Amino acid sequence: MFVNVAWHSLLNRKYSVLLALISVAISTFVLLGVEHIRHEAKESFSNTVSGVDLIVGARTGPLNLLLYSVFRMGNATNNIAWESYRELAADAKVAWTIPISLGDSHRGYRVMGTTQDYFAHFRFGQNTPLTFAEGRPSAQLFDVVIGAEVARKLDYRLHDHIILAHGLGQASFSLHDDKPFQIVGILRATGTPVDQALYVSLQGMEAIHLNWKDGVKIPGRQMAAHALEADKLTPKSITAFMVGLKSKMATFHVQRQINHYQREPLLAILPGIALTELWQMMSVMENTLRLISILVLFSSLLGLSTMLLSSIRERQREIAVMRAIGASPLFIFLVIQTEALLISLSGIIIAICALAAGILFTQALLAENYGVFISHFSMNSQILGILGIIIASTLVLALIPSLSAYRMSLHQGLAARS
Amino acid sequence: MVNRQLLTGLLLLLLGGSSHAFSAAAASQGAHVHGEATLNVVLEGNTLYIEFDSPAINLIGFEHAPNNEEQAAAFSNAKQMLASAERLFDFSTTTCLLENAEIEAPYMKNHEPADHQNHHEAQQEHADFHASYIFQCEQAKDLTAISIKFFALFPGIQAIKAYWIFQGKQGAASLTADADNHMLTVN
Repeated sequence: MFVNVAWHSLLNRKYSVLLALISVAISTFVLLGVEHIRHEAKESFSNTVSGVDLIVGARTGPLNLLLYSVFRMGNATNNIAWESYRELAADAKVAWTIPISLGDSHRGYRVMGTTQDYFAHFRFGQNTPLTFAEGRPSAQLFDVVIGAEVARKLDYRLHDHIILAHGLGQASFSLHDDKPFQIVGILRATGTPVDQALYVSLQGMEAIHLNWKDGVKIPGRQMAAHALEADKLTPKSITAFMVGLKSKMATFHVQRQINHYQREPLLAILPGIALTELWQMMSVMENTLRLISILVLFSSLLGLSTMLLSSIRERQREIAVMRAIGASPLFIFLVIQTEALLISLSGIIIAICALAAGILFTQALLAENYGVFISHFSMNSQILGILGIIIASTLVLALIPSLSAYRMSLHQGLAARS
Repeated sequence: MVNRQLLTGLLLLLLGGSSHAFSAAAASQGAHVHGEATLNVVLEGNTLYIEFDSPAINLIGFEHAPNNEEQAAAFSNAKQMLASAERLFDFSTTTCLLENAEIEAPYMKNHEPADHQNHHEAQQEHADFHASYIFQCEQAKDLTAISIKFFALFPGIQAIKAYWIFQGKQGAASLTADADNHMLTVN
């Protein structure tokens, strides 16, 4: 009954109601958006690497090593000697290792030199192994395996030939065009940075740089691709390597052993711990963002209640008429509360629709530019909790206008006051 | 049963080997923050392995070889407390029995009054205590929090950086001397 009355009363003042509605919708959008992106960015990061006990690279900060070797973000770290890698990988406590060599690119996507072990041992999400949508791991020198996103965006098929560029950049002028690679495998989509890279063997990586000197191609020093196989292709250095241990018990011990490695300054990090430390550092910023969005929401709800309060003045006669035809003061109170609730609920619905649509459109952009994978907006208990708080605070703040209307309906009669 | 003994034996071997390499290299390593200790916790299967690492000053109040009765007493007291693992950790949700504890204290080699130069050197150098414990837990899956009681026993420790690996999952926590922050929770 009072829903009907409230609805028509809102329709009667549609412009000011519309403005209040927009302000509630925007503030809810901001609050939910911040929460969702915060949550998803965390998920995206922690899903990227799983089952790796240690990541080893040149001595730098733990975060830098993690970001560069796994997410390909941040500053490039120094390389480490191949001999050091071989020696540490041969340790009895080590079950497997995945060497990583970064530096080249293909049309804006990173090229990673690695071994077959990458496809065998790398895990993402909840310990999910990499699988092939088509093809197989690279076996030959000039074989390349590409991530799902690379295949989709560049429209590559199995057995296509591609040319890698030296260094980074979409339009690199120094191309390894003397040695094309053949696509032998396309990975299934993972929703992690794995999708956005191309994978060649370490030997292939070495081979394309064989007749280069000081980062430039030397003209006239062409070497037939088939003659390369015989050549010495052992890499001199790699960027980093991931370690899986036979027993987790030894993790801290091996970490220390690597950090104290005599021949070269190395750094071993535990990826899960480095990530936790990243979140701890980010928590100040997260809390600031959350505080700002809560304040925005509070001010818009306050605006809503101000709008209703000022409408009470215009509605003195309306309230008096309602009283005259038998409405109790409680009825008046409930009508105002319902009006606030209607605005706030429609604001929430608009915000959720806008957020879902917004995420749908920005997903690809975020993934391509930042390697952050945001999944579709979905309701979870935390979001429901936030919505509950929004509605509860609406009702509390709407007490100001509705109590004022209640009091007015108790004291005033039909006659206009002045 | 045989398997477990084998595993423990292997672990001891590994840790025994480690302590040596560690003490040799510790001098070359940088991290040494007064007031702060580190704790490494690994749970695999039902075996819980805990490593504790702290600058000597947190535990005994000075960082040189003990030169009088009082300091010698503080020194041996700290070693004793580190050895009594049941007073350091509390596993409220399950029962974990200590299988082995190893304490490594500094200044053990030159315990006798050293000549002046040696003494001078020792004063300049930072020194650390290391302790490692192996527990066997009854219901390891129930173990979600460990109460860390170092703060009450060693007032010199203001913060503990705890790193944990529980059944393959890694994480970190900062524990402080505040009364409500003694729990290392893992999930």
